[in-house]
Amino acid sequence: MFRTDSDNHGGWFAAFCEILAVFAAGLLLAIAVNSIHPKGIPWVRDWERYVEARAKAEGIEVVSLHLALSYHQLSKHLFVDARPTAEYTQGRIAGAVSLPFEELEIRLETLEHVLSTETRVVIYCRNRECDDALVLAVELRDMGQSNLFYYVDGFELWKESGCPVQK
Amino acid sequence: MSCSKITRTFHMLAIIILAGVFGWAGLQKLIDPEGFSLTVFRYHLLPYEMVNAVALWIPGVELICAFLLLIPRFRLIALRTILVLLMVFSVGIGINLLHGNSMACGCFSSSPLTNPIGWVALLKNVVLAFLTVFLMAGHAGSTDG
Repeated sequence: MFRTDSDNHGGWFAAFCEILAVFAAGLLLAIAVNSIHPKGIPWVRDWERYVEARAKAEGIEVVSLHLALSYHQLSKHLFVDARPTAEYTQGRIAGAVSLPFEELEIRLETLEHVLSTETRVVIYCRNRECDDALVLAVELRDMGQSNLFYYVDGFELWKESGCPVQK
Repeated sequence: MSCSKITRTFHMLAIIILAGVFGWAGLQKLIDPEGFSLTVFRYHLLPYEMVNAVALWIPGVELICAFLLLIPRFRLIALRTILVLLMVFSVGIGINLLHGNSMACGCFSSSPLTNPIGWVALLKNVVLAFLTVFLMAGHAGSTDG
């Protein structure tokens, strides 16, 4: 199957087969490693149910930690914390306002002075698995908010990465 | 040192660098398959059912190529495979740059939290592709006549 250099004079088909052989060897290596890896992953995951995929399907723009931090440093975006109030008071992204989905109607009136339809809003939750922020984002969008961003990595990673927090 | 010796030395150095780059890249991704699968997912170019399989398979291929590069008998096979990989990566990066996506490249790290892709990442892939083509040409030249 593998040719020596002196035998390898062109032959696209032969080259194609050789590349396929390398791909197959890579797959075997992947199978072997994943089977013994303590942090192995399933070969098929239902990514459609992943919060980020749902956000994309809703047309909500998703930003990761790096971009969210850039927005935070620019100070032109309002950060909105979608977690329950108890978690918010224990620690939040510096400057973020609290707006749990369950308290949307109550809190929205008090936030009108900072939350207009033109405000650039970054909504976040606990981590990538939490979808409170997405639910809130969809609701705000339906209420007319257009400049919405969903910070997908959540407060836990923000804090772990040493980004600005306050209590 | 004669000209051909300089060329052979440079050729060997380039082989070692390329093997190192792909070996390191593959190893990083194999160590953190969860992180790399998220990076692959965020490219939004594959059917969701294929994301994890591709995320597991790519580092395997990278490591195999890095290994084969160091064996003269299989070097050309490795170079061809690497060129195919680099072209696929470049297309993927290019498409996402045009769409304005801001996720991590996943080129040399498994983490989706590294710096987002930019035209520099694409340029790095293109430079590596040119290096690979150069090495393929040098390999052909050394086996002619």
